[in-house]
Amino acid sequence: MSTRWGPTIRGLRYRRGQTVVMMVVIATLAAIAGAAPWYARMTRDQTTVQAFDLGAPASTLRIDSSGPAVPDELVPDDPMIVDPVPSRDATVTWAPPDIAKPGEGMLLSRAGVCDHLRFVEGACPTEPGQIAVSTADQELWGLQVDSTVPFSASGGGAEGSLRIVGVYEVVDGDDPYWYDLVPDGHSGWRDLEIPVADRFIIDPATWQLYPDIDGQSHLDLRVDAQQVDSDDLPHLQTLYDDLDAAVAATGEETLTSAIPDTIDELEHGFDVAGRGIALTVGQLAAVGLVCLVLAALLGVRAVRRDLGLQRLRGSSPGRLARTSALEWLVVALPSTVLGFVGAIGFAIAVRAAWLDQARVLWPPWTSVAAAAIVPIVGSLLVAFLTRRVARAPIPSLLRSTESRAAAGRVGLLVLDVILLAVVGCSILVALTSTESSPLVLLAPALLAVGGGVLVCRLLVLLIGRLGPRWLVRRPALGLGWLEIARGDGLRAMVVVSAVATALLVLTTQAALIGDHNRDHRADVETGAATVYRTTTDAGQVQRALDEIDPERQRATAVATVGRSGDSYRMLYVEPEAFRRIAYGAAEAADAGQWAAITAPAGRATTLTGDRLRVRLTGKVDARTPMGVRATLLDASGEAQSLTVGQVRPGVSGSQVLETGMDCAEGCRLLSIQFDPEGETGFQGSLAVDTAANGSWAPVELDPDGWRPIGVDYDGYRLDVAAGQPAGALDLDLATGGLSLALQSTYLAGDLPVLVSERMEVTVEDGHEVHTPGTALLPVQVQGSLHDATPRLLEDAMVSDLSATTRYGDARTDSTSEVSLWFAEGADDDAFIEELDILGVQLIEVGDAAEARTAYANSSEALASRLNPIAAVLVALLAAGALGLTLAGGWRRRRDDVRALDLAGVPRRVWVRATRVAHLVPVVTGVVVGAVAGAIGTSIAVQRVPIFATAEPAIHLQLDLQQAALGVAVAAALVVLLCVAVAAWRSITSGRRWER
Amino acid sequence: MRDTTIEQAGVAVAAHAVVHIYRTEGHDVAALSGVTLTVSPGEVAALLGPSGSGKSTLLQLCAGLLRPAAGRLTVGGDDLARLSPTELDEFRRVTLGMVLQGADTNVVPYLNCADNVRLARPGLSATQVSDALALVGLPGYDDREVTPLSPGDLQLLALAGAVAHRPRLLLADEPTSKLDHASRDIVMEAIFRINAELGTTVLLVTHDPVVAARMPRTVTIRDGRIGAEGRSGEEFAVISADGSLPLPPDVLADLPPGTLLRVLPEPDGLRLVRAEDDDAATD
Repeated sequence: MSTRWGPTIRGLRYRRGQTVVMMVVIATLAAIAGAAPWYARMTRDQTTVQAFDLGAPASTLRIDSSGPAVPDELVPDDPMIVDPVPSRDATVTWAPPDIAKPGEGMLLSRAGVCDHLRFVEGACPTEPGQIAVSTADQELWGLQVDSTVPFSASGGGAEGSLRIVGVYEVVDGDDPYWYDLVPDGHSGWRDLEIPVADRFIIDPATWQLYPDIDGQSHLDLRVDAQQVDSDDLPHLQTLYDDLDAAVAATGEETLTSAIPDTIDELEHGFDVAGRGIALTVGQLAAVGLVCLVLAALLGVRAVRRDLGLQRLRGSSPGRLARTSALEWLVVALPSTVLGFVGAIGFAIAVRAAWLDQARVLWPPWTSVAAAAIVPIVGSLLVAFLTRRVARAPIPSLLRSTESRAAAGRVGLLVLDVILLAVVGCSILVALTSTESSPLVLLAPALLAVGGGVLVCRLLVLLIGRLGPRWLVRRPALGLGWLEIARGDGLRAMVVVSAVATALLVLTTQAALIGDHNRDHRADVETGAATVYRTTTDAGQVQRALDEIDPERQRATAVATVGRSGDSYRMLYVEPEAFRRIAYGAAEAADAGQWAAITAPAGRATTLTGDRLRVRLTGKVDARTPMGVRATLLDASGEAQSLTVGQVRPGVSGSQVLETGMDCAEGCRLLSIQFDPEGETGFQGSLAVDTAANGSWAPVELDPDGWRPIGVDYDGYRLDVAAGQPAGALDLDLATGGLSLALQSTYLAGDLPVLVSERMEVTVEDGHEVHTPGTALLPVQVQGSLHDATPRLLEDAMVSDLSATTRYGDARTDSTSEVSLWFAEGADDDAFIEELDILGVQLIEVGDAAEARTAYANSSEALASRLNPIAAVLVALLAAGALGLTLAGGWRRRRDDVRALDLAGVPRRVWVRATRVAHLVPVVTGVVVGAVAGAIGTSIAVQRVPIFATAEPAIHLQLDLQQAALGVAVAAALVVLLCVAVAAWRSITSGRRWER
Repeated sequence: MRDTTIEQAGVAVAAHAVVHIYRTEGHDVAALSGVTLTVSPGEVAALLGPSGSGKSTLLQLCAGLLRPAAGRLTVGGDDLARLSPTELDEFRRVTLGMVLQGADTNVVPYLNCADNVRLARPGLSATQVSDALALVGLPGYDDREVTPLSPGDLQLLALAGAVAHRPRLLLADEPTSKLDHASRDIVMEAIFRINAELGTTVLLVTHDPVVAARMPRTVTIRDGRIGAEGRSGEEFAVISADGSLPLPPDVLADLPPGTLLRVLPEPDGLRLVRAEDDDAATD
């Protein structure tokens, strides 16, 4: 073969070992370079699509107008904006049949709404004055087709009534058509005092019927997630800004959208993920570059004599450099293509496995450019090295072994000092930077380099002292040590092994710690494996659970009081079951703390029969009557709020107030409330009786079992003391008109609570908290929660649910929620069906697995998924780098072996010596790398932003995972030792790998 | 057909009081201590002498691989010490052909014969390569692999690689070492053929007395100086630039260093008389 490239190809075939290594290194580097930007791009696209696919409000724009309609010209002419839906609504006051107090409702007309509803009765309104109501409202308020709903506009003015023509269900609540306005059928609360209705669907013509209703028009716009990728974010931002300006210019319309926030969040995620990917891949590329340098150096050194011959024939170093660089491309270009094909394969694989929503499979230009840089950099490197080598005197080039003096004029000590100074400064800068810098991620590698150099120097010093002594006593060991000391590859071997091990530790720990904390966050935010909301009272839920899961192995009931934004929220739980299901094993050690919040049971006041009678004896100092109400809790757990009667003003002596009650199976008396219409005073005794069988049977009223509430306002007074006769309460009541109440404490003491850490300083014993209903209880702090309360990341207090169910107050209303938290694996249809049969209907509000998946698809998590791949590649590249380091000193080592052989040193001695010389640096490097990796990773995970979580923060598990650490170090040791052993065996068996 | 016409004449090599010192750790070694030598264009000369005498050093100085510490060395009138690295490359590319010691040292094992000849000289045409191979006695070897070649053929291939560009000076360091007699003769014939057909000046180093005997001119180097010179089989002493006269080894055995001599001019030359003999005669 005498073509232009014939000699080059022959040379490559001749040095096929080197060629293969070189091709693997280049291909790996090209694959990394090509895949990293590609992967980053796909993660950006994936998270972008996910963010806009979430629906409202992340991907929607709403234009509100006080006019009859939003002008059509405001709809942006942009293909990404789809499905404009005009609508108009108005808040009205209405009253359900048989309920005196008015509630709120909303009239809604929406283009095409009939196509998105299923009518279980009647049909969609098509005429003015017609409405459709939800099945939930039908059930809750007894609304029927053909009945009318009287209403009045909330702002006053219009009044009227609408005829019900249909009862609807939503066909698909996830349909983007609904934006975030889907009538879910559960907007009404079972609190009889505030009847909030679901959407009342009307025909648009109804607005003309009632022109005085102060309604609002809307135009909903949606970004089509299927059309958006990460490159479109600037365009979307511009689109929003333009629309915002256009809307503002009208003066009548307003624009609301979370799109700017979505874009900000996405870009923040891109930034975090980009830095994570860049640092992971950057370190990987650095190892790859070291491999490339070693491979290139080895390749150039292997042709020293060829270069000498060519120099002898008049080729200049520059010409040889150019020729070498060009010839190197013969290897580099196909290898790069091969690597890029690998990157394509990687992209296809991850797209199939992880990034199914990343539509763009075509590589970004950065990917191609990054891959193209590899052969260019390699070519320049080869040119530089060739030129450097070829400039040596021709006679030295023609010698078989490179002169030791050619190593350089800078002493190794100076080199070490410079290296350590650079490493030290880098670590110092990373650690002292004001913000948590991701550069801290370099700490393990930097520590490994610094530690490796230091240990090498110490090792050489040690060998200097001990080597000669060992040489006499144990020749193999002594020879091996001396070989280590004189080997110029010692530093390279130790540092390569150390850096590889440290990176392996970092990548595995980063992946595991990141995943663990993301999962932990998902679990905490969800609360339990699955969480369902229910409109059923907690008492009923508990009774249902008592029947089918008495040990609470599968689920537990939780009542929450307080909305997001309150200073804190109260969580009433079943302590032991909650500890197990919500906290899992992590809180097992705090079982005693959780047991401490079990509410101590007090004495109950029990009534039986069908008449409730209250006797007040004393002086009523009032000009207006004072209502008396009582709350009872029946055997089924249902609370009964009864108006007992009115106390007449200015009457001295006894007054008996009486009303009916439904307590055939017994009721508990929970509270007695005084509702004065004006300034009132009462001094006397109160007794409660029940007519069980027609005769008076006084109920014993223990003053310790009652406490006044609502008396801390402007000196209003309600004192309670033991009365005469026995069984009555002495009362001293004074109020300016506000209600005061006596509440059965029903607890032996104050409500025991656990509080979040931050609340410890603000909440003291005696602080009063609300139960889900009306009760107000003083607390006794039993301890603090060291972690965020599951599902409630704000400040929270936790207490015993039984304390509230005793008051019949664990109800679902506008400020509280009853939910059922399921243990892992308990969320099966049969169990849910059993609950349904027992009257507990569930609506899923949280699924830990889904939350984990969502976090696992975040930009940060997707970036972190590269870590295990990086770990494998680090191990491979390190093996390559070590192999090349060993091969670089091959000829000299072989000469050493030959010299020992010629000197009459027995074969077994020099074989063992060579083994020591190969293995000790590797083992030393792995040990140094393990220590550097552990220390560096501990520092990095504490400080790097990619391990932080969004506010409010949860406690992160940032300790190193010891088992994984051991596995990573063992893996590094095995891989690197295999390379060293292979090198040792090939040298001692005389193979010519130096080619 | 091979072009047998002499296209360009050889160059003259002139060394005047050339000194070369190898600097090593701790001490310096003078490899050449004032060598003065002239080789005429187209002449074939051999450098003889014991190991370490400096003949290979002189050859490397002539090739511009080393620079003399003192003295002047010209090839074709160019003072090699004054040439820049680029000019030296040009000199080696155009004027010089060199064969290193060791048959396999001059060839790249994975290239075939033609590619070995073409190594570093991409401008050579296939015909020129074939001609060069034919000139040294390896016609048709263009596509042959190097590995199976005999040491003699390898040396011929080295010669072909050295002369393919028709150099004006051929330097060969022990071109016949480690060769059997037949191969040695073939190589020598090739060298003479090169000289004859290309007019190339040939300067070679040899230890082989048979080779030396066949050379029209031999220069013996001893202790870094010209010890003797032979022409057509006859041995001569050579007066150095500083006027010193190295004595032949057999004479030196009778006249050890430090012996006082009287140099007496005579009509056909000089007569050396040991001083004490002369004094005794006078007494």
